[in-house]
Amino acid sequence: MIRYQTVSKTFPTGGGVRDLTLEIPTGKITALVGPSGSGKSTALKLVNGLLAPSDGTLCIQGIPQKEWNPIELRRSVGYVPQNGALFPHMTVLENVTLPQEILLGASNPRISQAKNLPEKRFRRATHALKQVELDSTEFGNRYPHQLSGGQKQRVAVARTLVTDPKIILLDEPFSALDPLTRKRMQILLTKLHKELGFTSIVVTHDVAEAFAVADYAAVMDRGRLVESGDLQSLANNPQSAYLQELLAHTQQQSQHLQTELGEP
Amino acid sequence: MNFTELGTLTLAHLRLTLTAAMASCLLSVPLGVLASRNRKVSGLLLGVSGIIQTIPALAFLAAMVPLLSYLGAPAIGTVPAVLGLCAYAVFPILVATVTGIQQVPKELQEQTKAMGMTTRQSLLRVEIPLAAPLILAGVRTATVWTVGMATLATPIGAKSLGNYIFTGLQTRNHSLVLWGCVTAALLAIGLQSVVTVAERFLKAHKKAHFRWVVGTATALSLWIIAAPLVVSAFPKERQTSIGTKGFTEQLILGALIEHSIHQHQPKHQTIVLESLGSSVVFDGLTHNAIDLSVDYSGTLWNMLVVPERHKRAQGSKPPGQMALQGFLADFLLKQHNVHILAWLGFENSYAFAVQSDLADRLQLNTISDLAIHASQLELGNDYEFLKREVWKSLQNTYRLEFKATRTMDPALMYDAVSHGEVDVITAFTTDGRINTHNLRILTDDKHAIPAYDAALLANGQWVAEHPETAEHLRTLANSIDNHTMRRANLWVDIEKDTPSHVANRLLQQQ
Repeated sequence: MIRYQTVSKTFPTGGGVRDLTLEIPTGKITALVGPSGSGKSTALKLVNGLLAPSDGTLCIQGIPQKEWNPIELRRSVGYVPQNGALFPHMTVLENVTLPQEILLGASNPRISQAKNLPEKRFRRATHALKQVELDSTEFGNRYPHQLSGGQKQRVAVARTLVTDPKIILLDEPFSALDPLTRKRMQILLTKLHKELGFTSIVVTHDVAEAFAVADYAAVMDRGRLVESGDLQSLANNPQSAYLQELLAHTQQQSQHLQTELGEP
Repeated sequence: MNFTELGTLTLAHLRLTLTAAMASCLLSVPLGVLASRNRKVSGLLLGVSGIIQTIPALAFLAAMVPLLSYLGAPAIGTVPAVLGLCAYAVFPILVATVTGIQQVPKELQEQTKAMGMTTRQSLLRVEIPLAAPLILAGVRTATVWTVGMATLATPIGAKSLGNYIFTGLQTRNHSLVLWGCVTAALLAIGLQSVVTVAERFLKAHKKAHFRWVVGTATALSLWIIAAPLVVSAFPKERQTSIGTKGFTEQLILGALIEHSIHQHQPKHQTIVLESLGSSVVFDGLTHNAIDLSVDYSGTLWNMLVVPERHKRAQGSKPPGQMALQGFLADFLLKQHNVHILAWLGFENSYAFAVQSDLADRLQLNTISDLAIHASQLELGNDYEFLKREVWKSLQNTYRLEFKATRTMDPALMYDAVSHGEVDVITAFTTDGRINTHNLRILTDDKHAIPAYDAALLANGQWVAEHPETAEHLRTLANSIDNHTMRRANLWVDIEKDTPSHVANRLLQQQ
């Protein structure tokens, strides 16, 4: 469904992605793992056309990114950034209804007008909030500044669900949350994925998060793909020095934590 | 206090302000949006509107008059006032819009793109709503400025609370000035609080309240702006407009003409445009924006004939009094289609006036005497004197060099000379204060100053449309002599009678 073929994206100021060849398995969650500046966010933003490749071909649903109408492409791909990026002047319900509203008057609406009546939109938004385990009667009329960090991210996820996207991109979605909330969000994401079966890319610098949510992983460092594959085999048999170091460090951390808590 | 007049002027002021402010919003918000997208455009727009801000407001408004008359548009009254005010109000709203949109957080701008919004959707749904508090603050600033600036619309012929201020300054009626200022200030506070209420609702996310306030305010404004247009859409007889310059005598004569017309034809529609700039009056007369006015033979000679003669390198010494009258009557009709209906019978000439004590001490009786002592004396002059032909002529004839010259408002000159702050002033021979301030007029012994006979002027088209009224006004010929005019000015300037009342007294005496 998403295939990078020798894709490069360079910036005048440096950074970016170099010569990336990678296939994202359809219907699975793939984690893009790497330190900051490794180019993982750049690789993500190429998919919904927030950035355009400098070189190479990136195909989404078999069509090169360059040939997509950018607006059509973005409307069919969900996007959740780190801080949720909720619109502060809109209530929760208004934020969640917005993606359907912007389809109104579109030349080639993916949702037909009949399906896009105000009450239908309202019902769909309420349902999306239920899917992310938020009660719309309690939260629907709140403004973003009245929500906790975890609630904001739930709303941001709900906002992508209302147009039933086949692809959802998440850019460090849970990095700013406290550990317990992060854990709950990771569980929510896997639950939603099991129900809905979308293809998803999750950008994260945290290997533990990759293990918690993803089936596949691609490890990136300094703009290049280091290795990729299904998570279990990557964990059992890491090829690159970078991943070996990363896994060892994560293991150390969890052992350290376990000793401190006095568990065996 | 005349409350009908207060109502009329306040409403006119409000109408000017609202029209200019609304037009400016409609212009600046889209321009601001455009500018926020493009650094070059924003640089250009902010530069131009910033430069407009640095031009003194009065000068900028006055510049609208020749500009519009060059373009063939109505050059006097509401149109130049609204255009000028509108251009002035662009800057604060433009800056607020550009800043407001540029300060939308980058991640939100990226999110609008990522959601697949079109540029338009992003603007309407996210960027403009998020910039709205700042834009509203800009609108608030612009509105307050415009209320203040609209007082300056009086000299270009738009009625406003400035009429109180300008008339008050000219007739030394300070309570009138205060009245105009206070009413304008109250108006500014009122309009500002409407915008502030809207801002509060917006910040508290009370969208329904916000829409209600903005909607009601807009509807009310449109009604205030449009109501007189609707009324004027019904055909009615064209008003006869009488233009006057800013000083007392002109205000009296404006009222005198109006009353005289009403004596003859009580139902004749008239309007007096008070306190116009000197050149605005004659421009208006030639462009049919003004029908009647009073001007002076020497002024007309210097303004209309001298520049032409200089161009052709001809001598510009004015002919004698009677010859000048005959020449102007012919010249104005042929060149400008302006009739001289009547020579009113008095002369308002420039003259040098000095305090009697000083005149006695230095034995000053003529300008030749003055020339001997001029290098030790300070001159107080009105705004226009040093630029006038009459000053060049005086300098050439008498070799006059003063120690210093100080430009001041004509209303203040007389006090300045009687308190000894200046030694000589450029007085007007009909000014009542020459008597009350104990001043001596110096004789123009070498005839350097042309005759300044007062003439009642009418534009040709108006005369053709109102032959009977014109004929009636001709009876004003030689009805006011110098003594009468000086006394009439005195009644207003010193005894604080109103120009309108004084005009009635003059008419009754005839």
